[in-house]
Amino acid sequence: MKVIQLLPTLAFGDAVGNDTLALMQVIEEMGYETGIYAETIDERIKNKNVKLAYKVPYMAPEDILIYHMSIGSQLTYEIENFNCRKIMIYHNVTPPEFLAPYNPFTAGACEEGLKQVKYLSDKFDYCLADSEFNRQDLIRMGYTCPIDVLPILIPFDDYKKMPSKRMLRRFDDDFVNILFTGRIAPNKKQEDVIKCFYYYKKYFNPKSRLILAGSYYGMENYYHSLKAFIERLGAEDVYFTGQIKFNEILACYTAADVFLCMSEHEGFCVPLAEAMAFQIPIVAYDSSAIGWTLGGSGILLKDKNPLVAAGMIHQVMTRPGLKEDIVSNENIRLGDFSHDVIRDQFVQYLNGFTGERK
Amino acid sequence: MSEPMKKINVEEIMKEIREEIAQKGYTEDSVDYANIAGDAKAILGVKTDFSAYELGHAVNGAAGQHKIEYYRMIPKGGLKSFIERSIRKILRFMLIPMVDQQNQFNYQMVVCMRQMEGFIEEHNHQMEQKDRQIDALEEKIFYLTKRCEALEKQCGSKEA
Repeated sequence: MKVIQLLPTLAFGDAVGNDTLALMQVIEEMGYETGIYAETIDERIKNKNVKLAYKVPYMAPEDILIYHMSIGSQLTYEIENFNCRKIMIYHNVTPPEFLAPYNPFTAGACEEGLKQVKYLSDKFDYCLADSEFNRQDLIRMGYTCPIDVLPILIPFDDYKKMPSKRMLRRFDDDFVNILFTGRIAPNKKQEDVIKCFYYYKKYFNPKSRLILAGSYYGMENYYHSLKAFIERLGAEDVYFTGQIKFNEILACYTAADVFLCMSEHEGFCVPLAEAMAFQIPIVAYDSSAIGWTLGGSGILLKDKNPLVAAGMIHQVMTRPGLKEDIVSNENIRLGDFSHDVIRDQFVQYLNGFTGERK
Repeated sequence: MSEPMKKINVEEIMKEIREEIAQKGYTEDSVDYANIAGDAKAILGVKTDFSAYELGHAVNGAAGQHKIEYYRMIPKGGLKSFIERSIRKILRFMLIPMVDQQNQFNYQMVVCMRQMEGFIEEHNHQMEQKDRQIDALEEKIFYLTKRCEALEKQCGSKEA
């Protein structure tokens, strides 16, 4: 029996790409014939089981096709032509209204993506969603097949590598480092992170800095608006790293004192799990999948008052025992995202689907 | 079974924060992001600060995806699939030369970008070397100036 994965683009080093490659290994270990098929494959990915989409082998009715859905693609319309069992792994699609003012091209791709998610609502036998938020999203879009939640497989072992010393020298001092990682993108609301930091620095702790680590590629307009906002506010010590090397991201996490997330749309939010792995207390606004990913850990803000959020950062840094309690809770939640737990969950779901429940 | 999470009374802490804000008279500034965002023009390719890593990432991304496949996947089975596969076969004579031409262009562009990247790297390396030389010379000048001053002082005191 074959279990293959299909997706529009297999990119190098992104969350969906890592998840796909990690799942292929699990499927292989389960003893199935497997492979990843994509229309575009980054040439840096060297694996004999990763092939172009047109090379998808004949799929018999008992075989399984796993489709990763995260953006619009013409590939979507071919799914129904497969005469085999089908599973969708839903990573969510960013609502285009966030992106339209800054990048109409990407907004268009997301709009098409959302249309396609709806189009696929009756084409799958089973779905896996990265989070409960994504599961609800599918139900809202008319999916009636069974849906389970399977968090993204995160390669936590990679985070044990040596952080960049140059970056550490830059940020490792007596300043309080507030960190947010992730693409500079309007749905992630970096302007709200900046506003909270501005009040924290102004009213609570002048010896503080904000690090916004992430690429602004394709979102240059948004990046410029943020820079203009910083200038207008008169906020100091705000650092945009741009796209950085992996060991530099590790240095940002190592130097961080608080992870602040004001995002309004996340399908899972891998950076939250990364912050947990680095024992950083998280203060986050309760939106989309964020509450689910935190799972009762971190500090979840129900409203977006920047003064209150700034005060909360101050409390985390100064209130005796609070930081330790948050980190302790985060360590418990992190256990749910460990490689072994997610792998076992996936094996259980797949066995359940194929009727080989063990 | 994992241990239970520690209870943190977020609402209570929030209440204390709100009281502190009211007591100390902390207020929000009138600068609103929405007014600034309105200035942004929705066009691609706005000039940004130069980042060697961002350039390398974009060049690697382009290099990784420069080759376009004309051959699109059509799963076997059924009349629709047969027709689609037939059309794909019929259009081969037209699509292959077009895609080949595009691929050739993409390839040249990637080579071009690689050359520019290499040039910038080489230039940066030379600049770094020059910076190090300047640093060393400045250090030398600093110590020589100190020695000169000391010698001038010595000479001055002997003359006196």
